[in-house]
Amino acid sequence: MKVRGAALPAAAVAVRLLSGTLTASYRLHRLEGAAYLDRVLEPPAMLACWHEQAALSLLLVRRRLLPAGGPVSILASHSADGELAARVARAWGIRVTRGSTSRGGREAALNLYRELVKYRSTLLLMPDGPRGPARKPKAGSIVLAAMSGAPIVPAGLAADRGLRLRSWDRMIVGAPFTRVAVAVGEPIVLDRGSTDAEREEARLELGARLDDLTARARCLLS
Amino acid sequence: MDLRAAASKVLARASGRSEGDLRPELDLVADLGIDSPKQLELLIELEEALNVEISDEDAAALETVGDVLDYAAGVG
Repeated sequence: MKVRGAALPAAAVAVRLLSGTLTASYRLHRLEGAAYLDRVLEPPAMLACWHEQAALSLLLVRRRLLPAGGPVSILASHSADGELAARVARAWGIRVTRGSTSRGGREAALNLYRELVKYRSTLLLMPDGPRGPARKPKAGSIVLAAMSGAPIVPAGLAADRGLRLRSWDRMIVGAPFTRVAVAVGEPIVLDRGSTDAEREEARLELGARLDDLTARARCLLS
Repeated sequence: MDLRAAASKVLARASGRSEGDLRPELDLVADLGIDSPKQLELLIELEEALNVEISDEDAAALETVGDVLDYAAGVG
């Protein structure tokens, strides 16, 4: 969705109202792995899900992360769409760090590192974002974990009813009052001393866990 | 503290090269093979070594060994 200029403030209000209303209507049918989710509430930490589930993840943000009181952060690009997302997120009380995705997004990732270390934030992370390929975690999220010491807590989310957008990730938008299931998994923890091989293994493991947890969330709905 | 020396050590660690091999004209990506994830690590370690917060604009301008060493010299 491209929104620019004078239409941006109105669009931000509309998206905020729509997303807030939709998310408030979702019924949290099952949450598996609550103990792992508690780790996210001890920042710095990262809650990771596939980008396609970002809209569903707002359910966790609104009902678990923000009420815990600590800072919650996301990354938004400098694009017009990023500005729209940033305005909506800030209205929700989410900290927004802006970053360029040029040269592989290193500046954006550096800002995320500061959110974790300097502001001790809980970071909502989509490892295959901002533009995919879908369901392939990028190495940057692993470097963030290794350099900050913050755990990556993987989660899979599924909605009973909804639609998939025609975006690169086929983002899921749950229908009003849909049931949502969440499966949270064991955190991935790294340190600065981790080798390239260990980090690559962790990256692949993150992808596998996110896939497994997504499948598990779907099972929880049936 | 010699900030250029500190930055040189960080570059050597990130690239796996000796400090003596780091000529100013070497490109971080093309010549030293410092890929995107390692660039993040490089920036973090530079910030810590130089005790400075590198702006997005300054980070985007760090393309060669010389850029990094000149930046470090300018911080002090």
